[in-house]
Amino acid sequence: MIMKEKRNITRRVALVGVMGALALALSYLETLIPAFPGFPPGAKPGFSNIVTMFLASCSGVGDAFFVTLIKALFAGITRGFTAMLMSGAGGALSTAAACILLRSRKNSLGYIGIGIICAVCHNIGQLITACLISGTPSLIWGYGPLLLLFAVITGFITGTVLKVIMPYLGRITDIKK
Amino acid sequence: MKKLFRKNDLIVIAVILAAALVLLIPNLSKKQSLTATVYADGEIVKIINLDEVKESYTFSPKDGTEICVENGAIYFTSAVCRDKLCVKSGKLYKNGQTAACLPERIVISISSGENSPDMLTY
Repeated sequence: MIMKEKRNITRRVALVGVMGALALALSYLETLIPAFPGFPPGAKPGFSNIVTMFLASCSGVGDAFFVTLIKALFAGITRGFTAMLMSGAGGALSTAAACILLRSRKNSLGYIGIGIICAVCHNIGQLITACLISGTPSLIWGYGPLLLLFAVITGFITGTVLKVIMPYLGRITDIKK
Repeated sequence: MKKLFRKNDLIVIAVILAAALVLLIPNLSKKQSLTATVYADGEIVKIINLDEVKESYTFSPKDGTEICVENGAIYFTSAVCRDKLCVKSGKLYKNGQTAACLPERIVISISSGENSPDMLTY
């Protein structure tokens, strides 16, 4: 029993480590994509949300939030304190939404709907943080509509990718889905 | 096993798009005189009527941050931060547009004459 317990902890540490690295790699990769014309600069596809959504679904709430924290710290180291606050606020709200929606027993939403809600939560968290940091609430009217529209598109993509990779990634966790 | 797409997803998309439209309403007011408001640390530091600008000029609300004003448009030309998102926001020329430099806490927002501030304090 003790051996099994230890093995599970080791496994979990390794899983969170690999997933954390994957999330950071994806965050870096999306900075290579040029800005979409017509959309606010700085709006990113949020591919690393796929990782936190996967952890929220197949591993655990704690693991998902831990990777969110790693993402925020990484943003802090590479892009500064403001970026850390933005990443942390958006990530926390989006991960919370992912945990609630993906772990509930009711299957009222598909992956696309969940992906979109997570993306919207991410953008809402960032927009509120931006308003608080700059002390300018009018940012909501200036950026809000575009960010919501952008979240629908990126959420559609992340939700679809999650659905496609779930059967393969699910094998490395204990939980069979 | 959850499905990729369910009917309720359509409702989610519809609600979010509707919310985006509602947020757009304040931006749709008729074009009148364009006013740019420059905020630093949440306080208004400068209000410029962009239609009355004859010659373009630049000013710096804070060291390293430079804003260029020309007839009908205003934009960040340089910033101290690394990602330069405010500069990449490009020229602001219509009502409701906003550019923000978060590290320096400087925001430019454009409004038409209708919803100009009621009162200014310095």
